[in-house]
Amino acid sequence: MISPKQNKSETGGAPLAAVQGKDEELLAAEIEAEAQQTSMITDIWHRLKRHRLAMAGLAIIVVLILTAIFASVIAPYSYRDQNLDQALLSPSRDHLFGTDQFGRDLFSRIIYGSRISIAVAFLPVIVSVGIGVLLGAISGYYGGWIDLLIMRLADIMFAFPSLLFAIAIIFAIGRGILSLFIALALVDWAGDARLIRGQVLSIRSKEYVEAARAIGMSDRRIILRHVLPNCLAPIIVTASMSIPGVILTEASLSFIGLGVQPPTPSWGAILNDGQRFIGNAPWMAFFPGAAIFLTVLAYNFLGDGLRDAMDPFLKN
Amino acid sequence: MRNYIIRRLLLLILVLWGVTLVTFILMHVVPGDPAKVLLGKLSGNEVLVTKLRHQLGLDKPLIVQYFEFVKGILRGNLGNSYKFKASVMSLILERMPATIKLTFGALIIGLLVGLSSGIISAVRRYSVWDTFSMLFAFIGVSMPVFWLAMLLQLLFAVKLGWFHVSGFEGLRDLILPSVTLGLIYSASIARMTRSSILEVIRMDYVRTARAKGASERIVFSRHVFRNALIPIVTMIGMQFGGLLTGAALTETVFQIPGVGKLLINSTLDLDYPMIQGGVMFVAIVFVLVNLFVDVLYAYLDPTIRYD
Repeated sequence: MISPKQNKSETGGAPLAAVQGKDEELLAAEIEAEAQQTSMITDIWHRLKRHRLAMAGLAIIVVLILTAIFASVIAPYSYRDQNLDQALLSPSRDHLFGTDQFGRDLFSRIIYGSRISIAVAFLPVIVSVGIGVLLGAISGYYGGWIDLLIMRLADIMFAFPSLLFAIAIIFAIGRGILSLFIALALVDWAGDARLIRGQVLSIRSKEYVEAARAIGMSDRRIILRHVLPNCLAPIIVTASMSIPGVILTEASLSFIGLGVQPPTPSWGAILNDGQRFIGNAPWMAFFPGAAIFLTVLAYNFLGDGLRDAMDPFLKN
Repeated sequence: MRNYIIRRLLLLILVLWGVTLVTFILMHVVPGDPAKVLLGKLSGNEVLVTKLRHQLGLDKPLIVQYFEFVKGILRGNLGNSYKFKASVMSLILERMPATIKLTFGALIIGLLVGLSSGIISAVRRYSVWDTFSMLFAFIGVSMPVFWLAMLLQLLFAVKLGWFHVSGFEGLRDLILPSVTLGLIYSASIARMTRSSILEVIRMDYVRTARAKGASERIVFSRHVFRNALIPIVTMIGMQFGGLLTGAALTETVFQIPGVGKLLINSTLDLDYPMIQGGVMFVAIVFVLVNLFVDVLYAYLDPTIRYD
C-alpha cells in the first residue's frame, strides 16, 4: 500500500485522477496476488495429497511431534533415574527397548529424545534459512561490492565440510544445547544464500519490481513485498530439504560427544553409549539409530513430495 | 579455459586466506584459556600458567599470533599438538593412508553401486527395479552412517565373526568400513544418475541419434551417458565434504586410526593446535578437490565457455 501523502509529494503537478487510478490498480493487483497465494497453497496441498510417500512422511512427523509434546505421558519410566540392578536388560514386556548401562528404560529415553529431534528440525533450520534468505536477497538485489562480499563469504563457508565447521564452532564456544543450535544454524546458510540470490537476480529485473521502484517504494518494502514472496516456493523447498541434513548433523555431533550433554537424552548420544556395548547389548545401538533413520526418512519423503508438488511454482 | 583456471586459482587464494581467518577467529574466541586447560589441576598456579602461556606464544598480541599462524601454514607447519607433543602436520600425514584407503574404497563402491542402480532405474523406469533401487536410495540418504556401521559391525563381525569387530591391522579391516561408507554414498549418486539420465533422454540430439540409426548401445554410451555424467560429476565434487565427514564417523565406529578419528578425539581432548591445523588441512584438501572437479567439468562439457 502506498500512502496518498507520499504520492502527492512525488507526483507534484501531475493530474491526481490518473495517479489515483494507478493506485487502485495496484491495490487490485495486491488483492489478486493474495488470492493467488491462497490458491497456490490449496493447489500445492492437492498435489501433495496424491504423493503417497510424502503423506507417509507427514504422518510419521505428526506422530513424532505428538510424541515430543506428550513425552511425559507416553514414557513409562523417567529418562534419568538410574537403577543399576536393571542395567543392560534385553527388550521385554517391562522394557520394550531394553535398558542401558545405568538401568534406564531405553523406550522412555527415546521418547524424550524426540524433543531434541523436533527442536533441531525447526529452530536451527529457520534461523539458517533466514540468514540465507536475507543475505541472498541483499546480495542479489543490490549487486556491486556488497554482492561480491557476501558471495565470497559464502565461498569461504563452502570450504568447510558442514560437520567440521559445526565441530569447530562448538569447540570454540563450548558444549551445550545452545552451542549446538548456534552451530547448526551457522553451518548451512551459504547454499540458501546462493539459491535465493539467483532467484532475486531474475526477479529484480521484472516489470512489477520496476513499477514499484517507479512509484517510489523503498528498497526494503520492495524486497519484503514483491521480491521475497515470489521466492517463496524455492525457500520452502530448500528449508524442507535441509531438515534431514540438520537432523543427521545433530545426531553425528551428539554421537561423537559434542552435542546434547547427558543426562538429557538425544538419539545420537544414546547411540554413542550403544557403541560401547554393541557386543552384549545390541538393542542400545539398534533402537536409537532406527529412530533417527525413520525421522530422517520421513522428512526426506515429505521434502521430495513438496518439491514435486511445488514444481510449477519453482520455475519463474 | 586457461583464463578460467587462472581465475579459479585467484579465487582459491582468496578462499584459503578466508579459511585461515575464519579458523583463527573461531579458535581465539574460545572462552577457556588453553594454558589452563593443559595444566588441568595445576591451573590455579598463576606462575605456571604465565610461563606456559609464554611458551605457547599465547601472550603475544592476536595480530602477531595470526601472522605467525599464516607464516607457519605457508611453510607447511600447522603447529604442535598439545597432547601428542608432535607436529600437527606429521600427525595428520601419519594417519592419511588409512583415510585415503577408506575414502577411495568407498568412492569405488559408491560409484559402482550408485551408477549401476541409477542407470537401471532410469532405463527401466517405473519397473520393479526402479522402485526397488529408488527405495534403496531413499534409505541410503536417510541412514546415519555411524548407525549403518554399527549394524554391519553387529552382523558381520559380532555375530558371524567374518571380520574384526574394530581395530585396523590390514586391508581386510577396511572392507566393512568401505562398504558402509560406499553404500551411503551410492544412494545420492543413484538418485542423481537417474534424474540426470531421464533429463538427457528427452533431448533432441538423442532422438536425432536414434533417427540416424545408431544402435541403442551407441546412443546410450555416446550420447546419453556422457551428457548425463556432467551433473553427476558436479555432485560427486559437492559430496566430497560429506564423504570426508562420513569417513571420520566411520573411522570412529571401526576404530580406524585415520585423520577423522584423530580430529574428533582432539576435540574431546581440547587439543587446540590439532583442531586448528586439522580444520585448515581438511578445508584446503576440500577446496583443491572442488577445483579439480570444476576443471574436470569444463573438460566434460565443451559447450560451456568460461570466459
